[in-house]
Amino acid sequence: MPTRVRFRLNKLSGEIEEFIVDDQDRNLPEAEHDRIATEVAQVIARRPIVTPVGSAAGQPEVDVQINTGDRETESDRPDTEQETQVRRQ
Amino acid sequence: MCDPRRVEVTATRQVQQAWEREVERVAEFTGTLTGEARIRQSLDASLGGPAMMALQTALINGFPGWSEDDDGNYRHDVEGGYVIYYPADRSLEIVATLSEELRSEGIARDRLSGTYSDTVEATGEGHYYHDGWGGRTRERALEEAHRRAETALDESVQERLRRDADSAESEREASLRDQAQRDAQQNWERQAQQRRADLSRRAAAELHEVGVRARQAFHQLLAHAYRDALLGLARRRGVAAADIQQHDTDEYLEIEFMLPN
Repeated sequence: MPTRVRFRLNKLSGEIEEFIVDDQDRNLPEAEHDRIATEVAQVIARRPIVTPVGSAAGQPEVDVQINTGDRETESDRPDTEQETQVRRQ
Repeated sequence: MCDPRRVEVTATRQVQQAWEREVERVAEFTGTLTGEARIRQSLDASLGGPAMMALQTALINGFPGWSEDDDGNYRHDVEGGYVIYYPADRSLEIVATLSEELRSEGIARDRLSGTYSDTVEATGEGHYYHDGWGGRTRERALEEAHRRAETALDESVQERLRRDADSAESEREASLRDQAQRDAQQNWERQAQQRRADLSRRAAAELHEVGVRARQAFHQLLAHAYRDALLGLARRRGVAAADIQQHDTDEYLEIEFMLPN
């Protein structure tokens, strides 16, 4: 099945408001969802952090958060790091 | 009353007279003082390889607002500072700058002295009538001529002393001005040392505001890099251009496509 990629960046804040990687395969193991999401996310982020989240509809759903780098305190860093949600439905 | 007669007296004086003159020169030194506060972060650890490559390619090809400096880094000026990207270590630096004109004065003083030695000569005239009409006798005319000669002699000596002092002042002029200029520069450095710390403190306080503007500029570049990286992925995986939805405004970049297995 094809993987749907949806990406939305707020160009003013630099925040990636949405980054969905939906492999559409409900039978894949969690690790495989993560691998697919990470592979896509690595185009944008060097070390994406994948975080699964639950689904309101009771379906297995995976939210993946991608942090593009090590966090520093807000006042000490240029705001170039992004958090991205990659969701599989 | 007969025809008037004239008598002329020449006075000679051996002069040896010391002179002194206070001289002062004022100079001004003006310079621009700059205070900075900066933060720097490596992008290498955060941006993905394709996005990083797209970012650098955009800069090399020319991206609005960014220009390459003499060191091969890329800079974007914003109000109150600038943001600079260093390709060598792939880091980004935000710099808040504050500058002000600082003016200082310097003074050089000297006491010049010398001794004038010469033989000075001056003449004076007196007038009389042969019959002494009106009390104008030859004796009075001679006294008058002597007095005038002495007065002329005094004036001549003063004039020569003044010229000697002027000459000495002219000779000293360049070094006095240099000294005043050095004094002005030293005063400037002293004041600058005090002001710099204050400027840097103020720049640090401005860093947050400058950072907001700098990031906005960088985010435009980042959006470009993200888009190129994602479209590159789509192309490599065989997604036709017509099957990629893109919506790019001043505020948002939205991209959607289906990656085949």
